[in-house]
Amino acid sequence: MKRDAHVPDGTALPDGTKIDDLVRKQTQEVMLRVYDDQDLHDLEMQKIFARSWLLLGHESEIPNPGDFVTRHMGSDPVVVARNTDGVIHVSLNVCTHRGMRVALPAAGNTRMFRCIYHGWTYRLDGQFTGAPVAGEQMHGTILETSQLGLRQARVTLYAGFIFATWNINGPSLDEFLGDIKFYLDTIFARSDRGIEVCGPPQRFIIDANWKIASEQFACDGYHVLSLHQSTRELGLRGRPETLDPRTLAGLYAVEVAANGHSLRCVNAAQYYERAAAPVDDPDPMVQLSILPPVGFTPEMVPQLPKHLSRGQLQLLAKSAPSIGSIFPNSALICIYRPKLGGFLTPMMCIHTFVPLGRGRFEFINWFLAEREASPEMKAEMVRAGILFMGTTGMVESDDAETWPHIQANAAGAISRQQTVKYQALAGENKPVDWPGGGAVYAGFSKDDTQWRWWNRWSDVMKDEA
Amino acid sequence: MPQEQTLRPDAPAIPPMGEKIRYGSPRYNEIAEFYIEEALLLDDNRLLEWIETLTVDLLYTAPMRVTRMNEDPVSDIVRTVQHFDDNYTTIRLRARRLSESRNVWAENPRARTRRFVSNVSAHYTAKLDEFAVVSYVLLMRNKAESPNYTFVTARRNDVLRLVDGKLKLAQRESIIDMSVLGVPHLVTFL
Repeated sequence: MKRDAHVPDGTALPDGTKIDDLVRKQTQEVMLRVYDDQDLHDLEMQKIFARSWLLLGHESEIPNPGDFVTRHMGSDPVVVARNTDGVIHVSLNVCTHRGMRVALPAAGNTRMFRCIYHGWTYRLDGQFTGAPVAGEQMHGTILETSQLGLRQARVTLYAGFIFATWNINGPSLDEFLGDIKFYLDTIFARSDRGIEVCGPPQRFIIDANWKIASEQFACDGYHVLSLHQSTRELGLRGRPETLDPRTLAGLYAVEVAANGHSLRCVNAAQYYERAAAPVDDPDPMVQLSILPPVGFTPEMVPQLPKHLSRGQLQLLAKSAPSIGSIFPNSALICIYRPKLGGFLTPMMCIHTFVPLGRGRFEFINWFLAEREASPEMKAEMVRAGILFMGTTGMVESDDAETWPHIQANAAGAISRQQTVKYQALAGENKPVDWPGGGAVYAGFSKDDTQWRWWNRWSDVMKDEA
Repeated sequence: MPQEQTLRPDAPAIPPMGEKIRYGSPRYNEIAEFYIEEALLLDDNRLLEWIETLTVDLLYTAPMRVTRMNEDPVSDIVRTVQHFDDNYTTIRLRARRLSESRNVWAENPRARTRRFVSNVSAHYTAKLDEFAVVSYVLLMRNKAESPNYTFVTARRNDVLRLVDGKLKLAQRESIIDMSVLGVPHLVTFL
C-alpha cells in the first residue's frame, strides 16, 4: 500500500478526499466511509497510533522485576516489562536482527528477552546484550551495540496505568490528558494505595473498526435506552414499568470533554434514592460517607481529602465521573449497578480497542478495584463486571453484535457515502459552581462530546492537534 | 495472586475425585443421558426448562486462558477474572434475558447452535449424591445470514448431584480452549 506518496499534504486520501470531507464541520456529519477505508486506516496508524499516548495496561499486571506482558500499540507489537530496578519499559517487540518477536507469550517473567530465531538477547529495558558466537561478531561492526537495542517507546504512568507513545519529544501525558485529568483523579487517584487490576484482561475480537467503539464511549448515553433495553426489562435499571429516562441510566447528567477525552458525570442522587439515603448535604464528605465512591469501603472514605481537592470531592459526591473515553482508543466504566435485592454493586472496568486492520479490533477489558478493598469486595466487583461487561456481559454483548453491522454497511458503495450524524448538540452550558475544566454540557446526553471526539480525530489526522 | 492460578489444566478445579464410574454402567448411562438432554434443551433454546436442571447453589464459571511459555510455572488457566463467574441467580437472570426479552439484541435474531458433548468421564466423590464429571463440548454457532460457523471448544468440569432421584448440575467450569475469543460475545451457555 502506497501511503505518503499519495498524500501530499498529509490530509487527503489518494482519491483526493480530504479529512474535512470526511468530518464535515458545517453540518456535523461524518462519512460512514471512515470505518472502512484502507488508506485512511494506514494513515491512522501513522498519525494516531504511531504518535498518540496509548493506554497499554496497568503496572499491577507486572508487579515483580522481570514480569512482562505483550501488547499492541496500533499495529505494532510491544513488550511491557518491569526492569530489575522496578522501572517499566515499553519496547518494540521486534528483534533488531531479522524482525522476529523477542517475547512470544502474552505474559511471563524473565531475566532477559532472547530471540528464538538466532538467539540475540536484550535486557528488560530493551538494551542489546549480545549475539551468539560472540567471536564471530554476528552483529557486524557497522553499528554500535548501543544502536542494536529494541526500539523504546516513551512511557509515563498515571495512577498506575501504563501509557506509551512513539512521539518521544511530543506533549507530556499531563498535557495530553489536559482538563480531563481533574476528573480521572476522582476515580483512579483518590486513595492511599491506589487501584489495581483484578487479573489479566478479557480479550475478544469484534469485526468492526476501532472508531465505532471508541466514539460510542465518548459519552453516547442515548443508545442505552434502545440497545440496552433488555436490562431495563429485567428490572436492573429501576422499576421496569417506569419509562422516565432519568431513572434509567443517568442520561440527564453532566458531560465533560477535553482534548478528545470525555466523561459522563452522573448525579449520585439517583443512587442515593436507591440506597434510601439523604441527598442534599453541603459537605461532600457527609454524602460520600453515606454512599462511598464506587469501589470504596466506608473505612476508606477519610482518605479522600488527602488526595482530592474540595472541588473534586464535590464532584464525586454530586456528579461522579462514571463512564467515558480516553482518546484515541480507550474507555472506562466506573459505576454502581443495582444488585438483585436492592443493594448496589460497584464495578470498574477499562477497555482498549486495538485495531487489527480496518474492519476488526481486539477488545481488551480489565476489571479494576481499589488495592485496599477486601478480597470479597474485589471478587464481587469482578462478578458484577463480568455479568454486565466484556465477553459475556448482558450490556456489552448487545454492543458487540451491533458494531459489526455498522462496519458491514460502511463497505457499501452507496452506504459508504452516507453520513453518521452528530446534529443534536446542547452547546456548552457549564453549571454555576462547576468545579472542573474542559467543555461542559449539562442535561440530556447529546452529541456534543462525541462530536468533540471526531473533531479531535480530524485535528490529529490533519496534524493540527 | 490467588492460589487457583497455579492449578494445572489437567487438574479439575472442582471435585476431589473418587472411584471411576465405569463406562456403560447404569450410573454412567444416567450421566450421559443428562448431557444429551441438556444439549437438547440448550440448542432448542428452552432455557427456562434448563434452569430447572440446575441446583440453587450452582457455581457456573469459565476461566480465561493466558498464553505462557511451556516452562512457566504459572498455569495458563486464570480464575481471578473469568468469562463467566456466575451463581444460580445470575445464570437465571441471563437465561431470562435471553428468553423473555425482545430487546436482547445480542441474540435477537438468535444464533442457531449445536452442542456436541463427548469424552464423558465420571467419578464418584466423597459425597454419595454427587458425581464429578469431565466432558468435552464443541459448540457450533451460526448467526443470521452468515455462511460461516463460529465455534467454541471447552473442557467442562462438572459436579452433578442427585436431587429427588434426578441429576442436576451443581457446578460447571468450562475451560475454553481460546485465549483471545474469536467471537464478539459469548452469551451462549456452554
